[in-house]
Amino acid sequence: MRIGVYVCECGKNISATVDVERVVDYAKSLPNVAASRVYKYMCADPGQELIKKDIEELKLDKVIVAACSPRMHEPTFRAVIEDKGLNPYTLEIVNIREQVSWVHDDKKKGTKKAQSLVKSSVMRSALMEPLDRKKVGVTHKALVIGAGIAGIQAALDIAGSGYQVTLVEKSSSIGGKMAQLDKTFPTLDCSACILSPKMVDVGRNPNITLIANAEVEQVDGYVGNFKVKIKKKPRYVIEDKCTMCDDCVPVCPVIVHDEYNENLSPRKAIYIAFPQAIPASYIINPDDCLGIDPLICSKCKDVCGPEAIDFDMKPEIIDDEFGAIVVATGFETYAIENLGEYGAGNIPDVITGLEFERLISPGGPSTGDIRRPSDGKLVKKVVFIHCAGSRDPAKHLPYCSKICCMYSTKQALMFKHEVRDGTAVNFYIDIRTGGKDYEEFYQRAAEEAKVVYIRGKVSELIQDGNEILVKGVNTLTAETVELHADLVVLATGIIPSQGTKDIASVLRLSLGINGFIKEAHPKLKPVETSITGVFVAGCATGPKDIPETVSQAGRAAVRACNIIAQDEIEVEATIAHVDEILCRGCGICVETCPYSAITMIDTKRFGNTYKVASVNEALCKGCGSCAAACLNGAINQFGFEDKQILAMIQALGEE
Amino acid sequence: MKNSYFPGCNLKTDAKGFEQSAIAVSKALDAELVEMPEWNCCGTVQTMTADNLMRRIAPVRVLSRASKHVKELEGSQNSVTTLCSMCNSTLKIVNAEVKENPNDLEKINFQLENDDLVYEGDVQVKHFLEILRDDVGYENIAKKVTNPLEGMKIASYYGCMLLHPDKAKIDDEEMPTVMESIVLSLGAEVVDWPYFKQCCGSYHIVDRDDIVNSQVAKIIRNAKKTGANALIVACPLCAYNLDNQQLELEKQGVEKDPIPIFYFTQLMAIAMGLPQKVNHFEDNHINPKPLLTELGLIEEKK
Repeated sequence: MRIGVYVCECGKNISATVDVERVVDYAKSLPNVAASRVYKYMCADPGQELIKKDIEELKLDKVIVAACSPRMHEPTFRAVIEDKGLNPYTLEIVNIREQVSWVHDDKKKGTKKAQSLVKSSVMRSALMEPLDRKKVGVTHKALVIGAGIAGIQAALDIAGSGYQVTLVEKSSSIGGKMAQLDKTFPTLDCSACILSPKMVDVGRNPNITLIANAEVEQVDGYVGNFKVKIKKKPRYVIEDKCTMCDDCVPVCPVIVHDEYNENLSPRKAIYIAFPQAIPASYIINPDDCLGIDPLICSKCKDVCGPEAIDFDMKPEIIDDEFGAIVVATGFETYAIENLGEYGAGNIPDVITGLEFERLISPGGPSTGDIRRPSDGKLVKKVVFIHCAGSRDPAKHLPYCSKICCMYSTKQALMFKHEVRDGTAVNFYIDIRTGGKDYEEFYQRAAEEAKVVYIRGKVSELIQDGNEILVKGVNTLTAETVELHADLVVLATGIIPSQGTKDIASVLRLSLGINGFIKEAHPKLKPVETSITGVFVAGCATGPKDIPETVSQAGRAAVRACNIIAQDEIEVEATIAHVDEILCRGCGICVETCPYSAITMIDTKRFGNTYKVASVNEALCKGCGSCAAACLNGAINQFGFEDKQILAMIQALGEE
Repeated sequence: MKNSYFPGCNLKTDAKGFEQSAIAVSKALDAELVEMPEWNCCGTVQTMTADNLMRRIAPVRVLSRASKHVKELEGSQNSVTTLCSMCNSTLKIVNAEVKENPNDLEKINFQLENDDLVYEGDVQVKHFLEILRDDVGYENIAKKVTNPLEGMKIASYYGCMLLHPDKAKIDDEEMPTVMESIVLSLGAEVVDWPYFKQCCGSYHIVDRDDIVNSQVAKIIRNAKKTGANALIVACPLCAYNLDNQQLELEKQGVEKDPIPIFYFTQLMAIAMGLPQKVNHFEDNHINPKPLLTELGLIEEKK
């Protein structure tokens, strides 16, 4: 047995609190250690060469790297030793950065701790055995959940690489929140004009299967082989037959709020979400309709020329398999009802930013005239309140919703374009314009369009006759401000959508403290999740603007293609295995396994049939829960055998 | 049911109508307010200095005596009830503070040694509005109404003390409903108005009545704009500012047609047909009787 120990200085990251030379000297005194060296950056090319050269010249058969967390560079060093013919699973990493140098300041104690950890790893290394790489086949097809701009872009990019992709959308049309916007910052492009072509592409692309009005109910399996159950709700209108003639709408007797117009206008029970909707077909909402029953009302069916209406449609369950999944389930805005200080939704002329988008849109409820909801009066004075519910750890959301500074600025600018003699006032905490051309856009609003900016929060909104009294403070002049407005627009914060929460629980994804889906690494793995093969794009991981969402969707698409482009992929080798002789068939491991990878099977022994545990190698993630739970010590994990762990503990105990 | 009741200074002087109507109402609703013995000043303005324990001796002394009283009072729950919002606020905050900081309580108790009574931190403080909401219930109030207040359009004025800060609030600080619910159960109309917690000017009445006047003008104008013909309050200081300064504003020619200010218990007494003398309307600056007579709610003695 010849072990090489390589200690990294990591610049000053490690060497500042660990005396690396002493660790190297100490390692030389340990059994089986044939070489022990230090280098400034072991992960850099010269560091890697150092290891390769030693393997060759000193005939090493095990390698230990004492450096940063294995989450960082384990794959790097496994590749290094594999290159020289060693089994990659015989590499041992000692984390002396995150677990030593970064958390201690006493160099003496730090050095001592690093030495102990190196010693325990040397003991373990001697007992490590080569493991086989495991491979599984891959379904060459991706699933994208959510069809806002993030999901649309991800689906188009995957389809553009030549792979099949299924796009599932909860509502009746794709487009998401972006379809509700009038214009987009900082160029004031019309949102529909840049989004609609992409929506049409989705409808036309032969590689994309669009399933609207549907939800993902269940996901089983693992990377390369996800088994998915999709529930498609009945539309009651046959998509291919509907000619969008609109004859059914005037005869429908049911009038409800139009969600697309943020409930500012009415719609019927049979409707199309908006004229550019994809799929281009009407839909009957069964919750609004008098009963989906021709005996109660069949007015729409009677007038439908192409006979597109089918009251007998039933919910459909679609079972399919996918190699990779992209979650793009987006955001919702913080409910105005939570904002008691701003009237909690009881003042009709206090509206949200999304409602203002509909008001100012030519396709909106007032055909683009900015009329206020209470009495339809044309608005002359409008106040925008930034951070309504954001950056308020005491009462509301603690975080910055990122896009509100820009969209309030955009809305104020659009208002000034529309109402030349009008007044637009923005109350802000800080103006955050971190994006390309954003600062210039803000300057343009403030200086050219004369949008008024007041730094300070609004404490209270009060209905005062037919105007709204805005009471706030100017924190630059330390004066209280009171002014009257016709309309107040709240830049309500961004929260994860219900769909995001639902899919996170279906897929068992980790969530961050604010309920958004957690990335595998906040910087280097921004679209990867805690589950291999599941990626995430757009506001499901946190507030984002459109350019950022689109680029993230592109990366998520590439990462999904990385998987579905392959014929087979490698899965974890450090999985659990059962010693059938020791197993007593109690089944505790079955309950413990979070991935449903263990089942009880029958086995014949001495002419009798016994129940024993059996591990599905493809499903096992190597978490070790079962090995720890097994009362008989019958389950062990490759790479983390009891004898190895005990040797480590013994080494640490000897100090 | 009986409740130990802490009056405070105003209830015995300027706000006799508040106290006596509240006691009469409480008896009629079987939630009698029984005055605790040997009470002293609540300490009035709550000090925000954390280590100024001297200023907390008075409220703790009240609480220690209340604790004794609730033990002696048959059918009483373990709480002391206040009518004045300021007393309620001071007692509630100090009660919470000494429960959080046992060391402070020990030091304060040391000062109370000559009293033979120390405070264990075991009593709750409640405002009478909380008793009406949580113990009596709005339906039971409605059942006792014999003279529904038809024609009265009432703006409920909470002021600052009932809703702030967190330790002392009796209802949601943005959307309180307790006074409005009582108004509804009395058969009167509730006016939805936004100035319900606007500051009345408070102690500025002593040296800067111009500040109070401008606050009162805003509050009253908004109340009238939303159609109110009366205001109800739960604080003697709010009552004084809103009541007296309306007349002052009228004298200055700034406002006219003052609207009467009631303690909520006075209107309850009228709606429940209790003897009129408990209301002490003679203490009101703006005479409420013309409005009540006009609406046929009381008969004016000729």
